[in-house]
Amino acid sequence: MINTIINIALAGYLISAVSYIPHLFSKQKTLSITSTITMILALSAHTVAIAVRWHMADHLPLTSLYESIILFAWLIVVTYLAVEFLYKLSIMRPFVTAIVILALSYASCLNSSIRPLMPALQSSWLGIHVVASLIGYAFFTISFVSSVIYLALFRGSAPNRPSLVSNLDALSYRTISLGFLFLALGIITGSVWAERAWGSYWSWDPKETWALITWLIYAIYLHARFITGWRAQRRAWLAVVGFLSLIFTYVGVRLLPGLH
Amino acid sequence: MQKSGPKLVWHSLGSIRGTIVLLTVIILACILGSLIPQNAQEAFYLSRYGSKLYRLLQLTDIIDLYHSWWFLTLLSLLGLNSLIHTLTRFSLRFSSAGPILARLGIVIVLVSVLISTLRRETGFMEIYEGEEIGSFFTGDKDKPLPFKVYLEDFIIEHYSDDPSSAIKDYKSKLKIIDRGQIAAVKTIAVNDPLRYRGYTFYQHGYDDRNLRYTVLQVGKDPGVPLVYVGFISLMLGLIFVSVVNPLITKDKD
Repeated sequence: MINTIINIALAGYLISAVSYIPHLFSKQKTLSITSTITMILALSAHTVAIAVRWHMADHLPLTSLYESIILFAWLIVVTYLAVEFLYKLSIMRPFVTAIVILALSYASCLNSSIRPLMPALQSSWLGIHVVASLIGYAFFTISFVSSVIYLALFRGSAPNRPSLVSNLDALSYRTISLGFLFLALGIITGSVWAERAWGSYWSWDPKETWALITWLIYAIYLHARFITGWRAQRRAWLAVVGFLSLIFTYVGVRLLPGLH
Repeated sequence: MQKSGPKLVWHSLGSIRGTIVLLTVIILACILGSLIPQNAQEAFYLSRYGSKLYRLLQLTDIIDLYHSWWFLTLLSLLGLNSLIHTLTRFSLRFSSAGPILARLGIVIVLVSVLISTLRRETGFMEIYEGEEIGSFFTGDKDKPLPFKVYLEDFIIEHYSDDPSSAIKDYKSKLKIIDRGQIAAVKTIAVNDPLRYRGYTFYQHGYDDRNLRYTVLQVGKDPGVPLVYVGFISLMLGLIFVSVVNPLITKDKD
């Protein structure tokens, strides 16, 4: 049943992305409205899916990669809608939606069974640790999209649309600074939880190490702004590298041995 | 502003460029440490890397990278850079509060990590119901405790009445006996340890065949209280930098 609702949401996001594409090149208002309405409908279906899962599992739906990716995709959409509203940068919509579609399609290939919670996961730290980390990931995803568009518009020496380009740069900085805060909260709550459950607040397990690597890459990004020699383009590349490290932290680390 | 001599050295030790160089080297070291398995058996390294490369990994401490002198030196340099940056550029403006708290938080966390790496003791204790034990083992050594631990009861909870169903939690009812007196009583569970005089007792394991027995993990880590202080300072600092400051500057626009 949940898979059906997720598929409906997926179809909605797809229609929303496709119907927005012509709008990138013209100013046809009707298409953009279709895209907005389908996006909101898809988000509603997505919300229902999470609520149903929560109700069925009897614990926070955050304990498997399947559940976590579904929430991650939901957070990307919510964060993006807030950003679009505040910054009026709807040019990012098809790209953000494409990432959401990829994430949900990947989730639907994963094991979606509900398993009983093992003792170590029964902690009030679980919710805040996972949600804070995923909010951080969602902000970083938005910064990745704005940085890629920034780099695409910057080919050659001078930007095509100066005001759009500087808006994208400002948006990358804002989202990375917020993502940095939430990832710090995610890492710290994970550390406090580990200290309570396993007796060590830091054990260099691969997931911990890679979350730290990702956080440090974004730390360089935030510091680079104060160095005069660094052009904004170089920072945009750093945002791309940070996102690749994030994806490795999220799904790649599973290939290495560890707790998560 | 022109600077010369020692003042210039001092200033560049705390520079943002210095921060970026140190962060880059630390990131590369962490990647190396996550790709090369740490603290494994000698035979494993020999079969995977051959004897020559293994010697090199051993000499450079890469097989125990996170506890090596050079990695701890890098962390100390980052802490020093952060501290000097804060001291040399100190200002009392409200907008500086965030960066100062965040950097001090990082310095405190790094100091705690050094303390923990050098001073942490950890081990295990096997105990039967009704037994009283005054030591724990680390590796093959027995370490004495300055008090005794008594196991009154070990409890295992399942998700349903069927004893073969998934385990919900396991708990141990412990009493601490210090100088002949009962000094503390607590039922510990997987996420809920007992702390007493710097020692922490964690519910660790059990044996299916003997439910009157349990394994406790014992830890003494003098870095823990300090790391919590660092975490709070870092979080407050970041909240100021990422949320409070942007809101205030927006109002002024």
